[in-house]
Amino acid sequence: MIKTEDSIVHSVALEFTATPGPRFEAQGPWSGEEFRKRLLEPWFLDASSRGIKLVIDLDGGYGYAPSFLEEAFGGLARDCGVDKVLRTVAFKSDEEPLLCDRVAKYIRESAAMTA
Amino acid sequence: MSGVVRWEISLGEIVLSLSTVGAAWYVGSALKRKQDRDMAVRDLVRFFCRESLQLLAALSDTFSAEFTRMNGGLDAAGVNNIKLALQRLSNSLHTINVSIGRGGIKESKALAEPGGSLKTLLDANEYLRIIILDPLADQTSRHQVNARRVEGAIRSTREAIVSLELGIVSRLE
Repeated sequence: MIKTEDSIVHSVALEFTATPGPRFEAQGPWSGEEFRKRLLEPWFLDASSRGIKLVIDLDGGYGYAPSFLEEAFGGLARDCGVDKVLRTVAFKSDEEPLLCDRVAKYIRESAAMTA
Repeated sequence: MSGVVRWEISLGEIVLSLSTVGAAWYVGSALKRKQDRDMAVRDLVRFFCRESLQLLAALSDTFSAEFTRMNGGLDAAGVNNIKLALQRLSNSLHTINVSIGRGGIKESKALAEPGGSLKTLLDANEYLRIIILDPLADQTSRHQVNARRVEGAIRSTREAIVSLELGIVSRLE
């Protein structure tokens, strides 16, 4: 975790796992659901209550399954609101920059999944 | 008297002529610079389209080889090889995306819009990742990855790359 005055950076690989798993906890270890419940939601609530940016570092995680990312970040948006999540959360990936666009897309499209 | 032709040119006319020639030269060179710049961006996009096609072929080869080696299943090394091939393809497509977005060629917006060939390509790649990575992550179905479905998705992605390149080429004519 790296803290600055206006942002806090959390790493999925360093603080959760470098081998992310499936969508749901019932499907196997290191799931997107587990990540969201155990880490992402507390990180998000902490950052939004303090009015700072939450930066999620995706580097180091090897081969994120799309369902993992959708469940974690799309799920967060379904729980907390798309606009609020997009305003608060930013993503970083030097290893695979297209991942950041994909995660933002999952957040934007999360409302459609509940409709 | 033999005919004598007298030319009289005023200073104003000289200035007007020079400024017209100067303006024409400036506009012409600006257009040429813009054309050269657009051509360079299109060449760059085409280069990365070729690279993406090669990486897609490499992904197809890796996928087939790993499945053959493990007789339809996958071990950790095989999973890593496939993920690495997918990452390389993803990064090449990202470079195409960035080149079109930042290159500022006039068709950038149309390509990136829904139905545009860049958007179609990124969606095809997304589908490819879903049908490869999701079953790998879900260990209960690791050995049930449908190789024929993956080959179909690779073909769709290849066609999307070719469509994008053809779109760029047709605008050069």
